[in-house]
This record gives sequence, structure tokens and C-alpha cells, in this order.
Amino acid sequence: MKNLETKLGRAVFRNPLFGCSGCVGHAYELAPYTDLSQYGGLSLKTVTYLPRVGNPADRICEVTAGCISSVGLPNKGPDDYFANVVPKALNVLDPDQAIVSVAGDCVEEYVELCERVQDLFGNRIAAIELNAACPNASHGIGYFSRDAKAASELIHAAKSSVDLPILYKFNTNFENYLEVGKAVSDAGVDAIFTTSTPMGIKIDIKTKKPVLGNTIGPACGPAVLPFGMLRIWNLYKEVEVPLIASGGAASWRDVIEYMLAGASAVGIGSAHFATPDIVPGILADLKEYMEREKLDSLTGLIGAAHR
Amino acid sequence: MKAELIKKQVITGKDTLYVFRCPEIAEKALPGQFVEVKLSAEFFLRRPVSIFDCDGSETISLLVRSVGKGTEYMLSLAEGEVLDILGPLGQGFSLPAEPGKCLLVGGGIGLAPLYYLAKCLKKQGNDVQLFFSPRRDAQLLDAIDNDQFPAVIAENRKDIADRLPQSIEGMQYVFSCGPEGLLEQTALECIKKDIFCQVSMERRMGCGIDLCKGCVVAVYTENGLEYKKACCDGPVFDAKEVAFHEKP
Repeated sequence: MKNLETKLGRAVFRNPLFGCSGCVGHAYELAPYTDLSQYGGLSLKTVTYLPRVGNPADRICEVTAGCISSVGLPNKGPDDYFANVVPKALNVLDPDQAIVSVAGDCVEEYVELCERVQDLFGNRIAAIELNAACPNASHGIGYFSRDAKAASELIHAAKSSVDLPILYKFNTNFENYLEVGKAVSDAGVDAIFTTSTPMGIKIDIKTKKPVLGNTIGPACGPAVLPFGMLRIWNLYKEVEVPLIASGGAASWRDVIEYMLAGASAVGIGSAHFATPDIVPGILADLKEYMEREKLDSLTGLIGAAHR
Repeated sequence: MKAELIKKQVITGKDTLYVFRCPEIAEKALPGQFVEVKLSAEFFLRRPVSIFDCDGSETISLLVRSVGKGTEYMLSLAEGEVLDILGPLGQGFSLPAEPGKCLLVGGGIGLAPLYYLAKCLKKQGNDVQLFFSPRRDAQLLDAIDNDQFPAVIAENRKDIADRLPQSIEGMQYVFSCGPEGLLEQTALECIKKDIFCQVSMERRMGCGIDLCKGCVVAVYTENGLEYKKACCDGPVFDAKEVAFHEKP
């Protein structure tokens, strides 16, 4: 009997394949094109404390071996999100799969959002994702991913306010990411969900201008896989909590490689754009791999490349 | 969906017509909708392409201008090759409830979604005329059965300004696709004359199915300026709705 169950702190998911926030809409947009039951977890697009219109066009463009995008977390704010978006998402996801992603400017805003999520959907979702990789009006981009003290305070505050498992969506593109990762781990987060997408730019050689309305944006896709791999490799040695890797994963091979580097689960992100039904295929391939390798579980692979 | 390329026809030095057999899309496609074409592993994103023609049961046609690596790659496709095409996607043009006088305003490769629309309008009993610009692209009209659709051809932007108002005069329905400057001119002229007008907006798309929230168009709503998405709210918008120069 193959067992793909994936334990991330207090949360238990049906398998280690996750849909990354920002690349899978709010699940219901994806539902007509795939079998959502094949996901371990799926993070909805982030809600912020205040509504955001998002960035001007263009927001996304292709580059070699990937794309760069800067969407700017557009959302109509918590009232609309909790009344309309989450209930619609929960029509297509099971409670053990749904992850609500929240972001604020300060600890208090994150905590208030967490409390509302727990009050409204506490028994219908698997976990809350604290998006610490996003723009921060007061302190600049990725504040909670590059300030270890702030990150630790945020985890403590969220954990003392809600019972739901907490995932930390963590931008590893700062020099001190190991220090921050350790602080988050020590603060008792259930799992760290990395985003390892370095900033990039695309210039249109006809208009001689940057393509993105926001000028720069994170690069995603196969191009960033080895960089994400190294971050997981390094974090695995430093932190005690499970890691959900993301950055360029698009096949069962990438998933196994991330697990060998130290990930307990793997997020599939921008690969959905061209292949919205990618996850059921990867899951089937993983099961075939387990069959070939005579494995009942993948947990023995986690961090195996370090041993 | 699997789509077999059954015919490839060079129209101009830079424009090619591709006919695909794909009943799943052909049975459902409406004028103004688009498809997302997966090319090779070299290309990370699909390419959004307007549906140029459709027989309603078996085939769809795409008229594609080679402007970048993806569209240049398409030139290498051979008849018999099978591609993965997603569609039909998006909100197309609204056909008039009552037949009337229709003008289709196309700029360059913006002609692409207007041909299937023209055929549907004609079938419905509308009087259909075409206003096309610029003349240097007029060879594109070889892709359509232009005996049925009399075309006014403008030389250039100045000529559009001189002749478009006259062409719109007396029309009941106007539909446009092309460069934004042309769409805006068309929209303004129709708003002044209180004529129904829809425009098809082009945006870079990440997915075409509303996952990435990338392809935004600024629109006026009762709540003020907002972003809508070309892939699912459009690509066709009411001309009065589009904010050509403002951002939310």
C-alpha cells in the first residue's frame, strides 16, 4: 500500500504536491481543467488587510526557461474575500487541502486576518499561510522574510491567536535567509513554504522599455530550479520544521530532487500556466516511481542526499 | 485538447493561416474568442491566438503574424502535426439582437477575430462592411472572402482620422480589433454618435484561464476605475467601458 500522506507540523495532507498561491487562482478557476482531488494542499491567492488593485499591465511575460511576473496581490480586501472568494473555493476543495493565504503590513494586521479566517472557516480548511514574501508598505518588500525578529514575533503572535496550523511563505532571496528560517522554525511554525524566485527584468527591444508595468518582477519556471534547490539544501541543515519547496518544479523528477535536498512537500507554481492539469500527472508519475523503487512511502527520501 | 494541423497557408510575408482539426473547440467557438496554443518545451507559456474562422463542427483557423520566437516557431509546424490547444476561451463579441448595419474596424493583424464575426453577422442577416488599415497590410484581406465584405482601406493613421467618422456614420453596430490607438478612435467616434461598439483588447497573457491574474484592462465601473482581465472578462469589452489612458 503506497502511503503519500504528508505531515507538516500539526497539519496532515493527502500527498506532498501543493498548488502555490498566485499560480492557481482561488482553486475554482483551475477546477474545470484538472482534478483538484489530486492535490495535497492548495494555497489560495493571498488576501491583504486592505484592498489592492494590483499592478498595471503588463503583469507577466515569458523569458528563457520561465517567466517574470509582477501582479501586485490584487484583491478586493477581506470582507469580499471571506464572503465570496473562500466559500467558492471551498466548494471545490476538501477541508484537508484548503490553505488560506493572508498578508498584512504589520503583526496586528496578520493576526486579525488569521482570527477572521479561523472564526469563519476554522473547521473547513487545513492551514493558514502567512505570506511573508509580499510587498510591505511600511518596511519594503519581503520585510517579514528578511527580519528575523519580526518574523519570529509574527509566528508567536499568530500561534497564540489561532489554533489552525501555520505555514510561513518565505522569500529566500535575502542574504540572511538561514537566520530568518531558523528564527521561524524556533518560533514553532508548522512548516516553511519557500519561494525562491529572484527578481528579473525583461526589456522589449522594439519599444526599448521594460515590459512589466512594475518594471521588475520575480522570475519563475525551470530557470530557477537549481537556486531553489540550494535554498532547500541549506535550510534543511538549519531548521527543525518541515519544508515545502517551490521554484521551478514541473515534474516528478523535480519533486524527488527537492525531497532529496530536504523538502517534505513541493509546491507547483507557474508550471500551471501552460499545463493546468500538471499535478495529477506528477502524482501518477510519483506513484509509478514508488512502484519501480519498491517504496511504500516517500518520507525516507526527505533530506537523503545529505546522508 | 489535441488539435491536428491540417492546412498551412502563407497569406503574406509575415502572416500565415493555420487550420486545425479540433471538434471540441470548433463545436463551441464563438466569434471574438481565442485559444491558447502550446508550442514546444522551449516555450514556457502558451500563446493566445484569436479564432479567425470556425466551421462549427470540425475545424478552427488561426491567422498568425510572426512577431516573436513563438510565432516564428509556428512557421516550422508541418501539416499532420498535433498540438495541445486550450479553448475556446474568453468572452467574444455580442451579436445584435436585431439585424442591422455593422461595421468591422480592423487594424493590421487585428483583422484576425473579425472574419468569423463577419460570417456570423452575415448569416444572421446583418449588412456587414469592413474598414481596414493600413494599406501596407491589405494583402491580409486575401485570407478572407472579401467579395462578401466590401472593404474601405485607409492608408495610414491620418487617413483613418479622415475617413473613419464617415464610415461609422449610419452604422448601428461597430466592432473593432487592432492597435489601441485605432480602438480608441473607433470607440470615441461611436460614443459621440451613440452607436453600439465593442473592442477586442490585446494583452500579454500568462495562462488564458484566470489563474495568473496577469492580463489586465482598466475599465470604468459603477465603483470607479477597476482592472478586469482580458482572458475571462474579455478580450471583447464594451467600448464605453475601456479606460484607454487611466489606471485604477
